[in-house]
Amino acid sequence: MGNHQEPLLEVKNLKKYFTVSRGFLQRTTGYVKAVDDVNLQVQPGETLGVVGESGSGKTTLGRCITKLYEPTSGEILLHSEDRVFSVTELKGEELKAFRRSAQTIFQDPYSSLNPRMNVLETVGEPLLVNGIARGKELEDRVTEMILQVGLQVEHLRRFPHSFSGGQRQRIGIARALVVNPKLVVADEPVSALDVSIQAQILNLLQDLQNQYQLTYIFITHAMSVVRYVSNRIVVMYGGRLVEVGEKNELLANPKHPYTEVLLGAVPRPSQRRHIRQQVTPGEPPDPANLPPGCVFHPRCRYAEDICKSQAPELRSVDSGSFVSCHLAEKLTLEGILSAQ
Amino acid sequence: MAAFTGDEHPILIDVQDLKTYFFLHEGTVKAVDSVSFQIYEGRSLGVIGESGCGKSVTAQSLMRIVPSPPGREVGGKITLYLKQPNGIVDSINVLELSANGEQMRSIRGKQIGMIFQEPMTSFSPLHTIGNQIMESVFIHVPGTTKKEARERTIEMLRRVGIPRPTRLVDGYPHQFSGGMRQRAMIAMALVCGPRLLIGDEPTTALDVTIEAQILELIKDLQNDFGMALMYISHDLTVVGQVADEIMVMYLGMAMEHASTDEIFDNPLHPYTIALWRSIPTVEGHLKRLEPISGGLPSPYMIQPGCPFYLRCERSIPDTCNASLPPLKEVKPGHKVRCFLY
Repeated sequence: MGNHQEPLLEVKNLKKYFTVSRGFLQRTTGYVKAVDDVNLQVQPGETLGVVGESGSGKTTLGRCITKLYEPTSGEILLHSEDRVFSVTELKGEELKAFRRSAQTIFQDPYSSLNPRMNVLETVGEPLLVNGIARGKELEDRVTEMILQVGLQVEHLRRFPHSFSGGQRQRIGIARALVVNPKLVVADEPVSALDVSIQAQILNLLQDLQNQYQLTYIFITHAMSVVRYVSNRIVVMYGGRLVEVGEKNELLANPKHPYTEVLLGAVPRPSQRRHIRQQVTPGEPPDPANLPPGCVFHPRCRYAEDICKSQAPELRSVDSGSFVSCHLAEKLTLEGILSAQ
Repeated sequence: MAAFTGDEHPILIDVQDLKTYFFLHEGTVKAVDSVSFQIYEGRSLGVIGESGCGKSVTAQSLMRIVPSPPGREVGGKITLYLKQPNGIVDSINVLELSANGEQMRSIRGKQIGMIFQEPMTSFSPLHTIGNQIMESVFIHVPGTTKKEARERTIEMLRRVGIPRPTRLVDGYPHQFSGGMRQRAMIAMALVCGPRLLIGDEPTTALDVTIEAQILELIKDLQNDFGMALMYISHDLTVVGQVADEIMVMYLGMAMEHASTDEIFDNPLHPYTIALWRSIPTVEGHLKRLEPISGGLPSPYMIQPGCPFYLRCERSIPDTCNASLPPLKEVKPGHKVRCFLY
């Protein structure tokens, strides 16, 4: 992963606030700061894992990047071949071209497919809408794609209800990849699947990445999954990035107290019933009512006075690691030692 | 389980050859097919398996809450041993009781408490959390006054870690977060002091830091109340946190049953081994996952032989597909259903 080449994606000061309205006149009474001032770069060919608990803003971030949501402010730049898309300003033909470059794989293979469309229609729709192919050519491209994701030609005319969860997720993957995108945002692509099927889909995503030189933003709540797929990991909490780092470094030597908490909570095979894991009290904050200062300070066992009043900036602590914590240099945090 | 018998932990529930079938238009689904196990006082049994393996239906059979029709317990015996105040141990075959009869209703809630995956759907949205928990007290402890029941409920809410229980006892389910609702459900299950708590994927819908809190709470309460625990999950690593022994189920059958250490360090059944190879973990050598080939077969398709035969790497032709291997104790306390052993 060369750090000196041009990034594929740049996210600058991204904010996405949802308004909360109340009363008969639906007056705006507050904001849900789902994503708050996020800066991020994604290199071509890498997998960036985005982890966080519910309400951390990871899905909103992914949806802003593929323009499923309109950000409140900030800039998103996608460098695709010789052009640069400024994602927030896209319209018309340029938006269509962007849609060919950036695609999403969704979590729930049951609700993300139209039950009235067969596989050919589902996977072929992006080709048709974007004017890439039609008729015989469309069918050929869809056939090639579904073979790549491990489905068979006889599946083409079948409808979603006749497929298992794993197969449906393969259809969702084929639909995302058929337009030959550069960037794929995968939002919890294996969370709804049975354990023995998860491995099939994770391996498939890795094979397709190698074959098509894809760049993934892989959103998940599961630390174990992110370890298998990512090159770098972003940890989100309360709509902000709390830590960004190279995978092994982040897992072994977390630099943000929340990363330590998250890693400490994951059940590990080496820790059984006798060994008490570190349990941190409290719950993730309500994104409509974030605490002042550092969003994590009410749950942080290292918090000092400064944490209650001043929000820390995301800053570089050593090569490749970024952390938003006032105390990062002072703390020695516990990671997962055997995670190599 | 030889390792867990003895005077120290008397048997609480003895399940023998439990068969729970679902009679559907498409055919009969043998959701639970001759499953036998014991639950000991104060001990924890973990049950793991993929969706459709019968783990939840097994628990529902113990509680006699299998949706009927189409489901029915068609065979076997579930013996519940109840110690009376005078020291005499009564035994009751739960399957002989009427599912909605008075005796079964007094067992549910009082002897066996259950918590579910989705706490939102387990509470009525129209009644306060406190009133729903108090209802259980009124049913199982006749003669309780309203004041006593309320105090008992507040005390239980405090014990499960609900902040400001004297106020939140009058709160409605929608006012609780997911983790708090799960705590309230645990309070409801435990308020009458059951001998067994069944958890059916109680932490699956929760965030990982909240899951750790709930698992710790369950372990603490188990120690305090000295109750037995049956913990059902699809996640081996989660079950390992709470269980003393683990039963691995596949298509309605127990494939392997051993102590947690054995299942983790020395799994024997090809299915258990394959499961371990297919799941990502946060520690250990990072190598490509090895998925279990194929998918779960249709539950209507009944094949002779081992249910895992078609997906097994080490299957023996003409043996494994010819007859069903027995669940055999291959070393003390370690049972496997496989012809390799």
